[in-house]
Amino acid sequence: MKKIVFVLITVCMGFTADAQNDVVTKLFNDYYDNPDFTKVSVSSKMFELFTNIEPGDENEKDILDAISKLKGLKVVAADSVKDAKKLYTNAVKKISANGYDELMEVKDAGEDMKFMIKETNGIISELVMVVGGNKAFFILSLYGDIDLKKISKLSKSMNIKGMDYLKQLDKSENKEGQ
Amino acid sequence: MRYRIIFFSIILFVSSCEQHNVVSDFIENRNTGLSLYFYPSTLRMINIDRNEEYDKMIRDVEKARFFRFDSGQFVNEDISKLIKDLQENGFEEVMSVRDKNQDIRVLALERKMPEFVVVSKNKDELMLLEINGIINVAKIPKLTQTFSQNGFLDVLNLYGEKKKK
Repeated sequence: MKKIVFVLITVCMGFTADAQNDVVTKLFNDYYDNPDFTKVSVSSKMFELFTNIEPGDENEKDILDAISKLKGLKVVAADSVKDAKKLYTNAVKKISANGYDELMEVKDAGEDMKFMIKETNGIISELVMVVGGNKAFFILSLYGDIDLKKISKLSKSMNIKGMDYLKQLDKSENKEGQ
Repeated sequence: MRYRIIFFSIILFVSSCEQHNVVSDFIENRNTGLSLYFYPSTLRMINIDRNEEYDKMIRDVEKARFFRFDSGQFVNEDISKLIKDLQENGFEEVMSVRDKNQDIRVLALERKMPEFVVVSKNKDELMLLEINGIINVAKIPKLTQTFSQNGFLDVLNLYGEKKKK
């Protein structure tokens, strides 16, 4: 009996873990065969491989710390698509409907940007960023154990276009601190 | 009898230690447009500016090999077979990048000194990069800062044109 309960719990936990990233995975799959979109996927194994690296200083320790807690990353990006704003609105609608909380929104003349998180008991398990411009559309999903401060720091130090949007997280951190 | 057992044990041990290299098998019967081999000394040698962070970043890389093949040297099935063979040898896909011009897959073998194989294909060519060892990712920020300050680096591009500031 104990064994059956244990198996059931394990199976349920597996489903819960899968469901966490369901909506973004679905969006990712929607664009998978569309050549106008760039798709990037990084698995947990990639992050695990960097856990044995010895940090040289505090800054590097923070970077490795942030990386080692990640379980995956997915990006869908396009810089020249029709209806980018519509894609943005649809994506935000779908993600919001799946239990993600809005963390921050940035709107300017050129593009809209929304950060959403999946949080349970104060622990952020997923951070989703959606950007929609006149022609540009971008979704980034980071999942694992997310520390917003460290992710913001990581994006500041890495000179990776697209990730620079995550620098905005600093503002949301400051807001929360006030 | 005892000697025979010891002899066979040694043979078995030696053959299990012998690493079957899938990339070497792949390049064996193909003409490579470009082949580059890097060892710790050559990796340090290309650091003409003597960038300290670069040296630290590649400290745990034992060897790297790069091969480029023109489109006549492979068909899609060859690449599928290469990836399948790597997976059968314990490699796991850890990253993929796909867009209209390029299909990049990164496979890794977890061990004390990990191995990475990057398979990058576009309509004109196939590029293979094999890295024995690990690049210290924590050094990338300092390195990219140095490179971007000097205007060298604009390769980490996930999203379109850089915004004008």
